[in-house]
Amino acid sequence: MTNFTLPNAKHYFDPLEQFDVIQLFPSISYALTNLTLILFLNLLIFGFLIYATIYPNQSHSTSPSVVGDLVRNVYEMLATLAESNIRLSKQVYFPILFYIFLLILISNLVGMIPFSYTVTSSFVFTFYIALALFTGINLIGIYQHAYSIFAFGVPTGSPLILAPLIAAVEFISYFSRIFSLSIRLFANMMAGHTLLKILIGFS
Amino acid sequence: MGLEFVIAMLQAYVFVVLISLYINDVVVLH
Repeated sequence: MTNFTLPNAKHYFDPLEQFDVIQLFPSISYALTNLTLILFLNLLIFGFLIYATIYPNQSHSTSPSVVGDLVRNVYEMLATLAESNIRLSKQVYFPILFYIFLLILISNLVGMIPFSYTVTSSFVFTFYIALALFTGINLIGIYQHAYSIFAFGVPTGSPLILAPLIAAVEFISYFSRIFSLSIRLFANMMAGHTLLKILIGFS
Repeated sequence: MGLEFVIAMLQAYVFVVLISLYINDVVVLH
């Protein structure tokens, strides 16, 4: 049979190799992997974007700040989104939307850099985000509405005799939101990057 | 390659839209 003499032949032919989580310094830290490293890099980029928006460079005050305009445009886009979707007089939940959007966007875009790592292509990360947001949203609902939070289980106008059946179906669909939310993001990123690597391998 | 950038932005947008819908579901009960 064929005998590969290359030391790491897997690294040249496997399009799924880019999703491996590697421990960078196993002797020093157990938890420091390429995933956490790139995640901290993403958070640094996020912090830089916010800092550059709040404190623009004073020496070039006549020229517009490119980063600031970019972040401000994203802010206004998300503000209109929140205005149209969340029917509250005060948009108190806007900051979490802004933070999640920028974090996922930066993670996706940093993943496009060759030899980088796409944090959102690992299921544990997207699942954690979706689960944490779902738990937090439900805690807010329980805090504000107490037991009447379970009103989502029975839509208005449904016949009372069908209520147990509808409640069961609604509960299943309600909890499958976590999986639909996380698997959509993870599968899109993973499929896209695998396809890119395969297409690049043809050249 | 360009498609991948579009997907990257679209997925972040979709995620935020769905989260805002879920927040609306819970905060504004019918």
